[in-house]
Parts: sequence; structure tokens; C-alpha cells
Amino acid sequence: MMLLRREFTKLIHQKRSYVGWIGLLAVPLLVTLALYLNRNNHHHDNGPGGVISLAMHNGLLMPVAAITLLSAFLLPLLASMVGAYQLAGEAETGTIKTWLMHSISRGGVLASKWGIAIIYVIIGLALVFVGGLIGGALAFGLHAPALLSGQTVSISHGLGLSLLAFLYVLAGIICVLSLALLFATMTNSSLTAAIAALVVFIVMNILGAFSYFDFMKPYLFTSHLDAWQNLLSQPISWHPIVIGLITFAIYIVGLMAVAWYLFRRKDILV
Amino acid sequence: MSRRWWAVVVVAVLAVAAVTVGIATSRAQGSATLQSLSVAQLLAKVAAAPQSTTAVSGDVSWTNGLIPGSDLTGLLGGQSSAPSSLSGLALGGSGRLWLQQGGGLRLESQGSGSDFVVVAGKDGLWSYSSATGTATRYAPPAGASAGTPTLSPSPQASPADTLAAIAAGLQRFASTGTVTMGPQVTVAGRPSYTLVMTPASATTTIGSVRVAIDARTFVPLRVQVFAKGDTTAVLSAGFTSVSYGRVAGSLFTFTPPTGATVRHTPLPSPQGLLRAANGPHKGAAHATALTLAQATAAAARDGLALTAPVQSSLPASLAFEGAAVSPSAKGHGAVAVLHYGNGFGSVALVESQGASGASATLPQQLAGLPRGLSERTSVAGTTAYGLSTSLFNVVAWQHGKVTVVAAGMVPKATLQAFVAAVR
Repeated sequence: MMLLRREFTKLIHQKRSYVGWIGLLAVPLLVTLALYLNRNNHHHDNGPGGVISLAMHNGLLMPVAAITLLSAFLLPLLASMVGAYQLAGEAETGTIKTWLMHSISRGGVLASKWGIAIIYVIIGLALVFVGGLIGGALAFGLHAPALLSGQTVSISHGLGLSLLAFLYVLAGIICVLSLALLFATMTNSSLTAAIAALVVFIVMNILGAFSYFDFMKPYLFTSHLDAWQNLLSQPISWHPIVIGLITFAIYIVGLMAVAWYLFRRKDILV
Repeated sequence: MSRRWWAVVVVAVLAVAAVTVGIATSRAQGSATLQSLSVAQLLAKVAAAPQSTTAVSGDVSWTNGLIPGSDLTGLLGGQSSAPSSLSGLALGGSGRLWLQQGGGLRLESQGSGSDFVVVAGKDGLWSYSSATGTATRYAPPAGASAGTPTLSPSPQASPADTLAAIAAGLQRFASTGTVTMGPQVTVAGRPSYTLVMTPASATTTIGSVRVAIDARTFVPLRVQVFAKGDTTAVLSAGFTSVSYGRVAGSLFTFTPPTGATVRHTPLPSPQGLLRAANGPHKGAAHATALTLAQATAAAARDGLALTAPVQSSLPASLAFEGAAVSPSAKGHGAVAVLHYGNGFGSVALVESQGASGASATLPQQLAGLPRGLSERTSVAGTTAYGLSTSLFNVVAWQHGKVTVVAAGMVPKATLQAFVAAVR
């Protein structure tokens, strides 16, 4: 816990933390603005997909509309940056050597790095939620939302579903983050680790997009990232959501186990 | 805590998780051998299924391999130029279905940008697209009672009568295609029988149509259409998971969400559809097959100059079978349909007058298709536009003021030979 608190102090004193957060806060506001300015044009054939068009009728769903766009690239990018920087960044500046000289377990160091990266993503997601809600309320107002399947639910029910959707996205993004942390144990360059994690993420996405690779789909965590959209159709089919969460859990445990194994045996030379 | 102990914990967690997913995703693939049934026995049980099964619900998926490049559309997602809700429905997708006898039907198409709901129940027939925020109410055709859909209860007949009727029906169908029992398969986790329909015609592109039928409830679970010589289905629709438990009545109600655009569309009556397909017949004589000379004369009375292929230049499988002529009426000109060949191997030549009607605009529509899908050829000096898929081929062209469409579930070469015989 002490380690985590120390990490948090480091996190909030780094400029780069704020760049990511500002980006995450800006995106829902920009999305809202774009949709608001384009609001008279939304019956066009080429209109945006389901969740985003729902948000155009109701600001309450703006957070989930924003997360739809963000989970495709910006969120994985930030997660791999923060995941990679936690270890490899300290190797770059040479501080990790000093750190590991103290009598603390390497497992504890890794866990605190993992934990702080998750906290970073949680703060980012909270900003998206709040930014989306404020922007959506100003542009389209907050009322009882209609779901993808056409039923109307209460405002609190809608907020609850949005919150569940965010928690699901968080679990998916932790996979990317763990991937970046694993690569960070293999290299001393945070950029290399972040790019490697992102490359794996993009490759998985491409494999998932072609029907030829359909047999791989259940095993790629990326193909489960959008399963939270099932929350917006009543009655909710929980099966894909549960399968997604189990897949995420396997990836996270597996990646972190390998990262822990590598980090324990790693020679810190720099 | 020792290093080894940790490793044991990690391995154990991974193993438990892997087994959990394995169980959850693969489910038990029951492979017990089913009681052997004849085609007629199976069909009789299917006809009787609504008496014992009153509700069906589950996840459904459908695929369409007719249009190439669906991979690319999948990759581009919402960026494709096709209307998103339509492309999701046309190229394949997945969704959920609920059906309750006496209750109603609800079908949901899901996927990024293709969310679409159809609800039929006591509120009537509705469709709703969340992408456009449009709810459409289909008014029942005039004169029809606004009843809720049922699982088509079979007529009150003794099993023996049903069996005899089915056997007679199969006998009549034999000149078009044969129905046989296929291998036992597992569909939506349910052991199922397969009915295989193989066309009698040697010249059709249709290889077979396969229907998988739940071996316990005798509810059809999947339909597949195979092209000749192809081992993967070109068209497929069916359940990926199914349950027969009672469905909550609230699923068959629909109230348009506030802010949705509500449209009202009258639904064509079945009689009206039939009339549109056959033309408004003045007499029974028009409905029955005419000879080519009779059809030409009947069409000429309506000012439609028929074009017909030269019989001697036609492929042997495409002999003239019959024709029907629908006289001109308010809204559309005369339409003639010439029928060549037998069963699934037939080719239809539809000739229509005037610029209205579905077939009249077909050449323009085909010309407007993206390159690669539409093909240009020349027929009797004019440009013809063709659409070629693994199951059917269409060629359309303008002959003076007459729009001519040749179509059939035959290979491209066969249709081209047919079209080449048209002078």
C-alpha cells in the first residue's frame, strides 16, 4: 500500500499524466460538439452506428458513445503508454536501480506499478464519464434513455448500465496495460514496450476483422472488447459479457504471471 | 512466500480459468445416435411440433456469401457506403429471436451499426432502428384480421393422414428435387436431423438445401443453401443457441421511444402480393401457361412487342415451357414472363413495358452496382448489365421501350448462352 501511495505521488507530479487525461476529457466534449453541430443531419443513410446515434437523442448516453470511439484506439494507446512507462521509464531515468536496492520485493514493485497504471486508467475513464455526461447534458439534455432494442428505461437505470459498461471496458483495457507492463520487463525502453503492446493490440484487431481467422476470435481479447453493448439491449444477454470477462481474466493473469517471472530474474544494469 | 508456491498458485488459477472457458464455450456436444426416421416421418413430426412446443427463443446468426468482399466491409465497419442497418442484415450478422405461440414474435439484429428490432404482438407489427431513431408501424392490410402470429398450428388430421399427404407431396415434388435424410448434426447444442433437398435439374447452380431439425422438439433450427460443388453454405440462417421456455409477454409489446420518428406503412395483403407477382388477371386463361404464339399475341394486344430467344440456338436444357402475360393496368404496363427449362434449372425471361415497376428499373440498378459486381455485355447490339453470384445470375437490358430481364439459378455460361440466343 505504501508503495502504491508513493507511485501515486509520482503519477500526479508527471506532466505526461495530465496530457493523457486532458485528451480523455476532451474527446467526449469534442464528440458531443460534433454530434450537436451535425444534429440536423442524423437521418442520413451514413449516420453513425447504434450507440452514438442513441446519444444524439439523449445526452445521458454520451459517456458510452464516447467510450465506443475511445476504446478503438486512444484508450489502448494511453494504457500501453502508462503500462510501459511504469517500469521501462524508470529504467530509462536510472531510478529503478536505486529503488530496487531497498529491501522490497520485486513482486511488490511490479504489483504497485500495475496498480498505479490501473488507477491512471480509472481516473481517465472517470473523466470520460463526467465529460460525456456534462457535454451530453448541455447539448442534448438528460432524459430517460431509449435502448438499442427500443425500450425506454429510467435515468438511474441508464446511468447504472453506463457504469457497468465502463467497468467492462476497464477490464478489457487492463489487458492492454498488462501486455505493456510485460513488454516493459523485457526492454529498458518505454517507447519500445508501448509500441510493442500497441502492435499486438492492432494485430489482434486485424485478425478479428477477417472471417478467415474466425476460429481465433474467441481467443483474442480484442474481439470481446465491444461485448458491453449487450447491456444496451433488453433483455440483456449476459453470456458474451461473462465470456469476455473470463477471457480478460485469463489474459491478465497470464500476462502478469509471465511479467512477474521475467521481472524477478531481470538483471538491472542501468 | 516461496517462489515455487507462487508458481503453483499461478498455474492452478490458469488451469481453472481455461477449463471454465472450455466448458462455457464448447458445451456438451451430445453425440448419441438418434432414432432413425424416414423423410415423411420427420416431416410429419415437424408439422406436429407446434402442438407440443409453444415457445422458441435464442441467439440467431445468418451469413450471406453471395456478395463478395464482405470481409472488407467487415473491416471497414461503419465506413462502408451501404446504409449500415441494411449492410448488417444483408451481408450476415447475428441477433436474437423470441417466438411465443399466441404471444408474438420479436427479432433483434445486433452488431455495430446494424441494430434493428422487429416486434409483432398485440401492438401490431413494428420495426425500430436505433441507428436512425425510426419506428415503423405496419398497418395490417385492409380486410385482414389483426391477429398475432402463431407457430402455424397444423390442421386437425390423424397422423396416418398426415403421413400419406406428405408422401404424396414428396412424390409430386420428385420431378423438381429429391428430399433425403442427411447426417445427424449438432446445431445450437441440440442433436438434430438434417433434411437434404437436392435439385433434380443437372444444370442448376443450387447444390443442395439443408434444413437441420431439432431431434427432440422437431423445430427447424438452421437452413443452409449450398452452391453446386461447394462445401461451405452460400446462404445460412439459424440458431446458435436455443431454448423452449416460455417467453415473457412484455417482449412482444412495443412503444416508440420519445424522440423517435414514427412512420406508418400499410402492409400489402397476401392477395395483393400475389396479384402483383402474377399481374391483375382478367381471366383464368392468363394465369395458365400460354404457348409462345399465344403469349406474343396477348402481349401485342397491349402494345408489348415480345423478344424471344431462337429455340434452335438454345441449350438443350432450356426448352420453352410456358408463358404468362399480365395486361397493362393503372400504374404499370404489360408484363410478360416466359419460362424456359425445368425446375431449379429454369430461366425466366421477364419483359415489361414502361418505366415503372421493379423489373423496369433493373438495368439502371445493375449499372449502378460497384464495378466487379456488375458486368457489361452486349445483347443484340445494346448494352446489357449482369449480376453474377454463385447461386443465381441475372442479365437485364433495354430493348426499345421494353425492359428485358433474364434470370435463373443457372451458371453464368448457361445464362449467357440463353441471352446470346435472343435476337
